Amino acid sequence: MIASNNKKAQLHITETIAVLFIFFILVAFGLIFYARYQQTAVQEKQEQLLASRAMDTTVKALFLPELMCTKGEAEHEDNCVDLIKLTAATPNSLPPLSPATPEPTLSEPPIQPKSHFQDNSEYYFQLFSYSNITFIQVYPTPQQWQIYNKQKTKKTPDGKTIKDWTRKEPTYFTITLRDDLAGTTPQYRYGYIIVEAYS
Amino acid sequence: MAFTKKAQLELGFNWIYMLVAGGVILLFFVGIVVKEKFRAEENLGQDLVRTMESLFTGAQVSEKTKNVIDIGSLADFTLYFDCEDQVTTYGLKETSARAENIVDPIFSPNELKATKMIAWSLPYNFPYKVADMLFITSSNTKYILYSGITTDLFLKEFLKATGSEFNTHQLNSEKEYQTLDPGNNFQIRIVDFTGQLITPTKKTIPLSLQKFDNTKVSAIVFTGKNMFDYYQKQGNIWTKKTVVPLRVISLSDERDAAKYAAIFAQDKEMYRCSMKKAFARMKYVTDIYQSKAKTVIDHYSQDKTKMDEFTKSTASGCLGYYTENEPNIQSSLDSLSNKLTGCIGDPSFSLCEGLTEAAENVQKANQGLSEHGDCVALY
Repeated sequence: MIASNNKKAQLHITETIAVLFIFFILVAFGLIFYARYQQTAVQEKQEQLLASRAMDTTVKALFLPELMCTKGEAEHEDNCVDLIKLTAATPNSLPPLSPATPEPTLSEPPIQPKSHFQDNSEYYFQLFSYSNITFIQVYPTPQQWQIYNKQKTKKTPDGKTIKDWTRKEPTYFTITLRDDLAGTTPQYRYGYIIVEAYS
Repeated sequence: MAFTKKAQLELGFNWIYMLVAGGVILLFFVGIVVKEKFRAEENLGQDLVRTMESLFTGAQVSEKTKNVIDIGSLADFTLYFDCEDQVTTYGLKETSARAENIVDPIFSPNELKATKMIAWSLPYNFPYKVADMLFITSSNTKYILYSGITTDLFLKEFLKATGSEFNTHQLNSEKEYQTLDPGNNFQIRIVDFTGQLITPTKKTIPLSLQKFDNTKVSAIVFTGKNMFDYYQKQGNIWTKKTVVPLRVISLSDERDAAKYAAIFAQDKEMYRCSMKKAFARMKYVTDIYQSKAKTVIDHYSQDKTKMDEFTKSTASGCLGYYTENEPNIQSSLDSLSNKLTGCIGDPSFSLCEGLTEAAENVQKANQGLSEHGDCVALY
């Protein structure tokens, strides 16, 4: 009788342990599934945010009072950059990038051409965050002005500075560049702006 | 006897076992619910911050347009705006959702609690475009305007510009002020263009406004064309919050962004703080204009032997506006830049009030250039 009772109790505990084991297995599965779903959702959200930030930065760059084409007290010209102001802000223009030019690897911080926005990057970071803004003239002569470039970097244990971003979202927008010094009437040039947002 | 004891032990053990397991499971789900609630609140705040950031960006593109934003989902929360040391802080009260902005000059009441938020931007030209001033208010913030028997031109412009989106009401007489109906609004701002409705001697608050919380009733009183004082409700009387009248720092008479800013700003602190943000940006913009002026001067000063007579005469005429005439672009810009440096570092704000003269000189010199015809204008 005693032996039979012992066996029953043992069976009961084993049963309960088995049920709990299965329950926790199911909970663990649920958690793994939830974590995976969250990971994907977060990634998607980050991509959306990066695209939105790239667009916002482009808009801010297009409507900078520092560079916009003004007409006295009248409304400014949309999507137009004053070439005198642009060259004043970025005295060193660069030759255009050829499509075959490989992207520079960031083993050391990039040497930036002197630019008003780069010199005051502490202030302009609030506007442009981590991004690279370049105005490119296509016609009549190819030319480019990189006004701002700030990449997220980190130091390796051996003291090297390496990039600390994984995604880059480029945005393009066509612009005109107004040259008031070309003659008696302003000359308009054709180009575009590239804004690359880093994340 | 021995059997009974064993059964009791087994039964007790099972109950404790079930309670512990049940408690753990319950805690697990409670934990998930709490975490989700916290996450939902955080998301709400983040969404708000993102919406505000997009709003600031959008304001620069669609300047002069009004955006009515549905914030019905945040109706239970209080939105706050504060500006200190040229940093605007905004977010949801009693949550972790907050953001800082050091660039855009934002003028708003300190608190908003509504289903609709209204954002409006106007370009601040001083004399060239410096920034877009952003005015934020809500559908339940009422602006009560008074200009006496004569219709103030600015009041007329204000009503036309704000349109039906804003919660405004024009008072026709002082008698109407005493019996005004505040309606079911969250806060009231009285705008007195006469300087006679509210004075240090006429400081009794209308009966209908006395039930409001002190922080929710305020007034701006224009004592001169561009001078104003802020008042705040304190019990049943108005308390003047400005020791000396403040000055609207602007040049234009039409769509005067700085004057609108004074009306939408909660108080002296917010007005000065956000104006300083505009002046900080102006310093950077002025740096560019100084470089532009230098480029244009170099252009007009280049070797004149290669020019024909007409070009030579045009060049020297234009150069006059840039370097010789009184006022000229170069010296006016230098003076403006120096005054801006002084203003940004001046905690009393008095140096900022001296900017108007320097900006006016730049405007005059530029007008001369535009009227000359063939000259490259500064802006």
